[in-house]
Amino acid sequence: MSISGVFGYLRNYIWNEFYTTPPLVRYGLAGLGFILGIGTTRYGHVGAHPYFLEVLPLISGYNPILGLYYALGFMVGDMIVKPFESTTIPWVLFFIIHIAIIIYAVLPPLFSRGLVYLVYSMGLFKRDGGLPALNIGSLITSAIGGLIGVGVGLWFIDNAMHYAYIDGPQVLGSYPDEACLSIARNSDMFNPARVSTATLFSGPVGGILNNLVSIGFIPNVSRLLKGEVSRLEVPRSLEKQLKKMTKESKVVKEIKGKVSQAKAVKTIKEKTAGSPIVDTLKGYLDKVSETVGEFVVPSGDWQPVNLNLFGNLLTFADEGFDLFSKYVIDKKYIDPLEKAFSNLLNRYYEATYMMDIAKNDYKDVLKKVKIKWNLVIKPKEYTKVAKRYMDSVRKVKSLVREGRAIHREIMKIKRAKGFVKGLFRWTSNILFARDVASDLAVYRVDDGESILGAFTKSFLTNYAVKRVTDFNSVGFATMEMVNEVAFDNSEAAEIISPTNFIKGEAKFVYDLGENLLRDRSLSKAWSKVRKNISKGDYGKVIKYVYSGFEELGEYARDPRLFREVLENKGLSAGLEGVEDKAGEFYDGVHKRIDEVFKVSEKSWKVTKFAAGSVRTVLHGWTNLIELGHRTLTSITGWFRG
Amino acid sequence: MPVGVFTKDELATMILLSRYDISQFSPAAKLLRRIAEMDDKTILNAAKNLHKVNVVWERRNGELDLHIVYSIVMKVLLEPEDVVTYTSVRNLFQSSMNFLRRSKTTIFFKATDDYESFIIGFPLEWGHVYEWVRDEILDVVDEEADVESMELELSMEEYVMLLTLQSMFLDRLRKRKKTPRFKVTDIVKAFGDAVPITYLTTALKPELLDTILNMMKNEELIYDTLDNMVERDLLKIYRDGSEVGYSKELLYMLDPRKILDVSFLIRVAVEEEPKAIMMNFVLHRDKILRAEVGDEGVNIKAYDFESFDNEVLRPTLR
Repeated sequence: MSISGVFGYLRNYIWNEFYTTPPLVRYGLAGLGFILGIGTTRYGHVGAHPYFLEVLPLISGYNPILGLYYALGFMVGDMIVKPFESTTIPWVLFFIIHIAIIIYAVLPPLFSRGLVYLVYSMGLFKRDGGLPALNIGSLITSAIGGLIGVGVGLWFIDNAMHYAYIDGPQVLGSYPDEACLSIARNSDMFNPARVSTATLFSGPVGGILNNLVSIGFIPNVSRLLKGEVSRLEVPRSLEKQLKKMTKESKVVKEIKGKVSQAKAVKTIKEKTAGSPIVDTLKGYLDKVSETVGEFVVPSGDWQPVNLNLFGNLLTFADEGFDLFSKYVIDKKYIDPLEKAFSNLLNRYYEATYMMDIAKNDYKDVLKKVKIKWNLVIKPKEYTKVAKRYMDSVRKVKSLVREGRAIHREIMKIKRAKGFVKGLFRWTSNILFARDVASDLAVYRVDDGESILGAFTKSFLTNYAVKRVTDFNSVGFATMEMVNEVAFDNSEAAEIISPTNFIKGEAKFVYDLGENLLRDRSLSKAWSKVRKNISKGDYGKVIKYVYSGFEELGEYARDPRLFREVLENKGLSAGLEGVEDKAGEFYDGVHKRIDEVFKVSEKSWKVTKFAAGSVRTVLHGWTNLIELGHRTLTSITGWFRG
Repeated sequence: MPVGVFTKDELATMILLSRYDISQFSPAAKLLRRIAEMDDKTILNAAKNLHKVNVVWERRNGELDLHIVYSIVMKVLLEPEDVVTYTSVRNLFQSSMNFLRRSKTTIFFKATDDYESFIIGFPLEWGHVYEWVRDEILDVVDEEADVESMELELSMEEYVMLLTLQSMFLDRLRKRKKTPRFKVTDIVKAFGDAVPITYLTTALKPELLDTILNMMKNEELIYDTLDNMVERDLLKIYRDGSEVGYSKELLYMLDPRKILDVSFLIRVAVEEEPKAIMMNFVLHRDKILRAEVGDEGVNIKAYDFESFDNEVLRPTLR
């Protein structure tokens, strides 16, 4: 009996369930959870959804993977509906509650099965043959396991709710949920009736359900759907499974010894302690959390936390992990294993050759054996030759086992790599969904579009941004990061930001297309879109470019204006500061530069420096152009004069 | 036809008593390890049991010996001149059927599904073997179906590529994606993940194993093979060459959804230099596919049942 054995057993149990549960059933239950989650509740209270927390342990008791999918479906539904619920809590904080719910979903079957396993491995309640039996002992054990699982899960949810409503908002610079503050802990926040139902009924029943499934009393869903009801097998003894799981070949142990994780972590900690880079990073992260806090509106309307920085860091992490897996994981972990495998292959060929020789020798000896009524007469060398033959067979078998172990180890590392990549992908998908949801709210409220229209527009524009930035994700992320750090939230930042620019363009194309389809006239569609351009709906770039074109149009319509700008009072007048048409024109340019590159008192020093230096350079360039222009007109005037 | 059923220990004792050479082609050769593990008590018990049913007789000098009939049966079983083994994936959990012949005596040998007991039937006529295998195949394939016979000549590399694509196609089907189209990067990755190695069991030729290992090491060989297959119209290009897919003809022949069974037929003629014919057939409702792995390439041919019977089955088992 050992605790680590329990963990190994549970890990295998979870993987087994994951691979054998049919996808249709998984997604079906996720859909059910989604439907439950999409309903709104008072204060956006997650625990107030009817029949969710009570039913969850029953489903996961039957099959933890189904419970997990049910909880995940619920999470998606609930998070989508959050922006429309009457709560001032930042959207992100609800994730904490949902993580707790997911833990709650998996704990009852794990505790139930783990406890039964532990009790059996101690040798209690065992029927002959070591098979777990359907007896009162196992039922009570599994019920207690389920009860503990639900209790611990509810503790997680209770704490997560308290953090999300009371502590979390304060950390992010907002206020706790006023509506929920008075009924916070130990009262309505967590309905006592619901808690007792879930713990006292669903917990034990879920645990017993799990026990009945494990001993084959209730057929498992995968077997049911494969039409194998008639051929339900007696499950293997738990002891056999234990032996199978804890057995590890020598090679794997050696390899594991070489890559001790604890050692690596310790070294990294020692090496980075007191490093200037780590200190700077810490300071920078403090600053980032301050900035994130600024974006959260203290009270009133719901406003998402700005996650751009997080998304960009994610891109870097993703790219960094690719490099890391290519140059570190592959080289350091997979290559030695593959070398060991090819080495093993040679040893295997050799061993089978030796086995053939031993076998032939044994066959020869066998012919000399004689049998009498009470006696088997064997030649002298029989024992030696038979032993040699059996040894060679055993060697071949052990080599095959080692080969399988190495292959399993390689696949484990590859699976872990895939898992991390999947994590990155799903986090970026969640960020994308959040972008779509927040834009949807903006289009719905500001532009007054229908839900479907707003969703289509929001989805297409965000998708365009995603696809374009995917071409060179690291490049775009770098641009965004530099922009965010250097220009803070000034107007310049909005102009330089590539994602803003792409989104503006996409929105412009979408609106133009939509209006064209609706009115079937280019001029009508253009006149509608033009209003939005001057409002700055499609981003500052299009706004300024358009206003520039409009001004150019004025000049084109009246050539006199253009001539007045060109014909000026010359260089000396310019140096004296005399105002003519050219002077007015260049003053306009200077004014525009000041408008765009303005910074507030609160801005970071970096921002002030960046915006200031760009502004100075642009002013300098404008002055230089004016100087050249006036010099040219002075010279032409002198020739003409 | 008398049928004898013996336990593992009894058959092992019979092998001990017979004192014949144990040919490596005999299906009973697998019992050698059991014999090495047996102690004297088990041998004597089994011998006494066999004596009760007159399989074992006692000589005058007190030594035990096989009955003359079973001595002949063991001779055929342990030193056969001709062995035919037939099995199929549909009957994966059943042991294979074996027919063994020495001069004019033919016997039938099969293990029970748990490999604890063995069934020996004798004497058989050699013609029965052909009829038996034919009936097994007719159980799956429609006799009336008329199909144009088609043929594919593939190099080793192309065959390995096709095996990999088939496994990727099966993966796609499991994910409810029904089109046989694959990203080239995914194909290269599949070689990196050693997908073709899973086919090592079917790689009866060492050349095939070498090809697989070569292609796993050399990425350019994969691209060259894909180019060749596209040139020969076996594969089609999609999305500017970033994806490839099956041509219609290839899909008609190799669609995994149409496979009902895969069967294996092995015939070994034990002479001075044993000649082995190993065939596997992919059985569809209307046609039978046969892949012949040569030294340099692979020939895949599709037959309807009649032509298969005339061209393959009858000549092989005559």
